[in-house]
Amino acid sequence: MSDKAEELARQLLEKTESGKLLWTFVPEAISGGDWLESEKFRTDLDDGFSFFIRRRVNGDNKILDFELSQSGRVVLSAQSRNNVPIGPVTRKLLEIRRGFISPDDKEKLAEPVDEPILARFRLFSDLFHAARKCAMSGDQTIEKVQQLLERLG
Amino acid sequence: MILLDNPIPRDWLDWTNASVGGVGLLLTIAAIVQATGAKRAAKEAREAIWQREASDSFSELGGLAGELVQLLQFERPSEAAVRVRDLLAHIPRDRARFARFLAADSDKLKAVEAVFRKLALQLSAPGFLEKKDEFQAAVQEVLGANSVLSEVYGRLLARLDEEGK
Repeated sequence: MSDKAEELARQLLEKTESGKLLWTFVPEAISGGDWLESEKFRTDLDDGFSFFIRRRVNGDNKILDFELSQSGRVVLSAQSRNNVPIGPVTRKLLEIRRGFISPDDKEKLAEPVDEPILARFRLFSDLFHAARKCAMSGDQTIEKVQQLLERLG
Repeated sequence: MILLDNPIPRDWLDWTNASVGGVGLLLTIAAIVQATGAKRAAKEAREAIWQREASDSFSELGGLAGELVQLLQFERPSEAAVRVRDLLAHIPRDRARFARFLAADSDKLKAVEAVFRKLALQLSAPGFLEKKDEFQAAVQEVLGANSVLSEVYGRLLARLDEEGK
């Protein structure tokens, strides 16, 4: 399921960067909790399909949520967190565990144990930044505010 | 005349004295030779320990630099800033301390230091991670600096291996 989400996120990133998709900012009700900042963007496709990417931030901690929905029903969702740089002991334990799970997959055994986690975080983060850039590209807020200030004399 | 005919009276005591003197001289020479060898061995051992220490220090630097890249890629600027500060404290110290093993690598380390110094400034600027191009360029530069650190570490290890043979 999450592999599918990554595949879709990759396609969305590619199409967003080439200007084929339009993203818009989604205002959210302040829900409180531990997260100090939250930003959400959406893009709509035909047949009622929509994709959402949301980032919640508190200090260095970030959570990225990726979602596909159809007419308000969530079809697919995936999450990535950045609080995972792991210590040497945990790394060793994860490597041992991986060795038991897939002892013959040499390529997989050679890569750093947290590589898939990092790859997903980078993908979702890149998509978030691309979506934000797209949504903000038509934003005239600063120019309008400057004009208003000039009008005040 | 009598003295010339028989200049030195020799008996078994003379021969014993002469032998003891000769043996003493040989033992002294042997002791000097051994002491010189021991001094050289001690110097070599000290050098080897020093080199081992240099390679350990650079291994530590490599570890710190690796953590830094991971923290950057995971977008954790505060922790990354701490690692950069650690690196900026360690690199000049180790560069000065192990200058005689580093030779030309010393200049390369200065360049590495400059990369980390630039990153320290970037990390202290607000919104640095939000500027994708700038952020990616910084990650690339840090990856390059890490390669240089690894190369220096590799050269120190190679030298250590060479002298161990």
